[in-house]
Amino acid sequence: MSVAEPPKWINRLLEKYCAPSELEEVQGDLYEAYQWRLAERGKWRANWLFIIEALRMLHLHRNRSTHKNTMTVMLYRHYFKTGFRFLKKNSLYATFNIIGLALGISFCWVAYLYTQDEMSYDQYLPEHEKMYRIVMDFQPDDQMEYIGGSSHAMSVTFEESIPEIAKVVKLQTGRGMILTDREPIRQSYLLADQGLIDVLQLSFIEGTSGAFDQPNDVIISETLASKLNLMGRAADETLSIVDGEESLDVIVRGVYRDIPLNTSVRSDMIISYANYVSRASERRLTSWFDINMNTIIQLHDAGTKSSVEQKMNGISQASDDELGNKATLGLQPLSEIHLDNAYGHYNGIARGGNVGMMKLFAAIGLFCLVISMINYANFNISLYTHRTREVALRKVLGAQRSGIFYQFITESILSCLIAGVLALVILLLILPYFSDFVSKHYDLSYLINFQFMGGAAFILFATAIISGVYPALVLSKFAIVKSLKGEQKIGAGSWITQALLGVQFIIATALIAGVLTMNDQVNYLSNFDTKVNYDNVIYLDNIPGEEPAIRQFVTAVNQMSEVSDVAAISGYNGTRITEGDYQFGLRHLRVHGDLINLLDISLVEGRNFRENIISDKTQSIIVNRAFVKSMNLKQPIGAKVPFNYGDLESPTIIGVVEDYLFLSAKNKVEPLVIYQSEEYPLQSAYIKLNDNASFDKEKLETAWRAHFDPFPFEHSLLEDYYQLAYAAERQMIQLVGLGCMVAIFLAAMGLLGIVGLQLVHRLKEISIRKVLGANAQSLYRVTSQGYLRVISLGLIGGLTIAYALINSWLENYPFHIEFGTKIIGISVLITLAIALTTILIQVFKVIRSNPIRYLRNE
Amino acid sequence: MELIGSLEEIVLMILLSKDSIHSVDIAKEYHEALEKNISIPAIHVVLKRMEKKGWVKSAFGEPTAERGGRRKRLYRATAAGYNVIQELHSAKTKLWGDITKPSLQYVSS
Repeated sequence: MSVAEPPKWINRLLEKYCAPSELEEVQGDLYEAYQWRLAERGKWRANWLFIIEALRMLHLHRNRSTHKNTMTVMLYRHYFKTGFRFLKKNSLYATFNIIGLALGISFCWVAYLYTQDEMSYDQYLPEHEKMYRIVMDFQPDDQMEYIGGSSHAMSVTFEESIPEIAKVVKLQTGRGMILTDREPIRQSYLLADQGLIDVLQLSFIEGTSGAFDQPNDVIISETLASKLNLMGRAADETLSIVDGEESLDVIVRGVYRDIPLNTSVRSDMIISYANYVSRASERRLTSWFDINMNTIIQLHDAGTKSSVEQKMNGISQASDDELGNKATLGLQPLSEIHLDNAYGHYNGIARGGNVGMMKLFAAIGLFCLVISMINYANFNISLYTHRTREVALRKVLGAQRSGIFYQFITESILSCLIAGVLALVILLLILPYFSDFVSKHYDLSYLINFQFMGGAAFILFATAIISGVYPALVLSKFAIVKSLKGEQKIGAGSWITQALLGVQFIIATALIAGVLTMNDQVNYLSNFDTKVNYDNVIYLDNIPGEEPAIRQFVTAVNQMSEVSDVAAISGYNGTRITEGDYQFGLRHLRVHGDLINLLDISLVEGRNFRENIISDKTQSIIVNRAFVKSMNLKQPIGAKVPFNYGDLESPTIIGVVEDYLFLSAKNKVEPLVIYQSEEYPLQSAYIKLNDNASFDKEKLETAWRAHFDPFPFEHSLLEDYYQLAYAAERQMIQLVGLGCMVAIFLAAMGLLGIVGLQLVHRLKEISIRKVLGANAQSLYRVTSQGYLRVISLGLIGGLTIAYALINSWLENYPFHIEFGTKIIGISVLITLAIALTTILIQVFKVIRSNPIRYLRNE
Repeated sequence: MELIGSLEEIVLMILLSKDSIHSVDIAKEYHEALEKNISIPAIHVVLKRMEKKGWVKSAFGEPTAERGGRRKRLYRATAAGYNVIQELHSAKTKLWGDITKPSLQYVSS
């Protein structure tokens, strides 16, 4: 007889799944046939046939009796039942546990929803992997600038001369007021080629875009159509759009279905790009580096990206030999635009994502989940005393270790399912607030889709498995006899439990320190000495209308009795001085009226502008200290500056002002030039009220209406306007603060539970100590020592991590506070206070108990 | 008359020709008679079906070495099985009698 044996695993498979009554025949027949074929047709063929036939046998002789299945079902039903009873019996801990898990899971879900949405931008567009935006790395001096834009000339030239490019979409934005019978509607719009309609796959519910090549062609979205009350009769309707002095009449060609929110190029109104071409000057259309628009290109083949980039740079260098060498053109994949803040989001690209916020969300969601998972594991291990006998009895009755392991995993799945239901409720409750918070429009449709539900289910079950494995391993290890005698110990202070507790406190401390620092930093910034007196100053931004109207308005307001002063400004525009040794960026400001006096800006040297000196209007400038420093001027007054702008030609400095804060304290004060020349249009105005005058909004609004009707009157206090700059930071504080609170709550809950449970083991010890005369104080010390050690280690760990993270955050701000003793002290105090109170609550209960009760047992 | 599949017919005839036989031997007999291979599960299917119809009966034999010490399940045809085959066979013979042999009508393929 041959020594060859058929594959063993097949036999095991047969043993497991074949009907027992038929197993012997099946195995025997297969074996015999195997030997026969081995002799006749060789080993390989015999093996192959053996496997094939065995699998067919498996089906043919499968175990039809439901006996085994019902056993499994019964077993799991039993597991669930004991699980439920256990939860019911320890309802307090179970509630802690499940609420903790629910909070952790729902936070994690929200974070998942947010990150998933942010990362989904433009991914749905067909062929998005072949689409790019032209960007530019511009290096005029030692500093690199990243510019997300291109010029009209570039897009036209590239489309003509690079054959790899399949499609070019030129993009620009504009905004204005659409005039209606009622209130005008403020609306921003895109100026774009026909190509955009193909790229975005717009579908029309009324009319079509047509050729979309006439300057007055416009298409609008469903939303805008219904806002304008044009649903169903929009085609060929004329819309008048007014922006300042310009007005524009366009004819609606079609109404398209709203563009999905996760699109980088989206607007409710798209005007033909021909409109821009018809209005723009020759210079704007031909100048190579007139960067004022975006170009989206689609390649025939994504593989040609680098060669297209090369060609683009070749053409660019040939077209402008002065700047061409300083600028490197590149292609940024369309789907990366949303989360890439380096190149910015403007000229037709919707507001970008906040990567920092996204990471923060993900981190906090994960932290909360980790803390609640640790709570779950620690609770279950600490509750083991209640279950040693149960486990031992199961083992006596023949349960195997794996069976008991599965029992505890089932229980953790049960807890997680209950927590999941609760988490869903929490999610539905917080979703509206959350979507407001991150300025999104999250609704149910974001939750009811395959991707989210899949991810959410994954998070839920991963939580169940991860939090269940450790307790299940520990609990299934009990020795039978010891457990039955009640002697089974896993060491009340098992190091894993301690380590897990430590991790919770690391997270909690780091978050507390983080919130404290952020709070201090924002307070520091918002109370920063701006060197501007903004008491009683009202700020009007974005004044529409032409120069004469604004001048008249300023004069009219100035005549009001409650107004002490008015000044209009152009806005702090940026430019560069590039003359000889001077290479630096600066801001420049046109003023109309006495701004320096109005804002109480102190003059360090020289004088203010004077009405009666004509040359002040065209040949004089006032600069700030930073400017003097950048120019390295010993004698600033009277110095001529190479700042040639509009009428100004090498103007003379007549005064130097303090480095007052004109933007926000998040940046250093840049060099500034103030002039009166009328190069730049006026845009904003400051109105200073008399000290004891009350602000009469009606009166101001009447004056506004007289000059700028129909534009609505919008105003803010200058102080509030300054504070707006820190809105993002405040939002971050809210978020981290909330995460911090949940984390602390969870960690405290975990501590409360674990201390209580571990003290149960020490009841006898404490009772004996009491009988022997220990006082409360020494008992506190004895019982809380162990925890204090863990918490101290957690504190140190947390503070170390916080130190590193917070310092790297603070470095973003030129003016910042120090992460020093104050923050460390307060974090330590808060953590210790919470931890100690939690411990003492439990210890106090034990110490007050009657020692006889626990000593009587033996 | 009960309908019978062709594989059933052959297996039943093999069973009738032997005293009692197990499935691997049936496969060997089949191979010899028809010079075609057949898989063991195919035979199991047929045997099970015929057992249900009452044409065959089975019983365990003695354990043997070539089966790795397992017992054979030996099958034996019943009287009902014999009757089915006999009926089928006479019907077929009758049909065969009506065919003109040999004939030029047959299309050569």
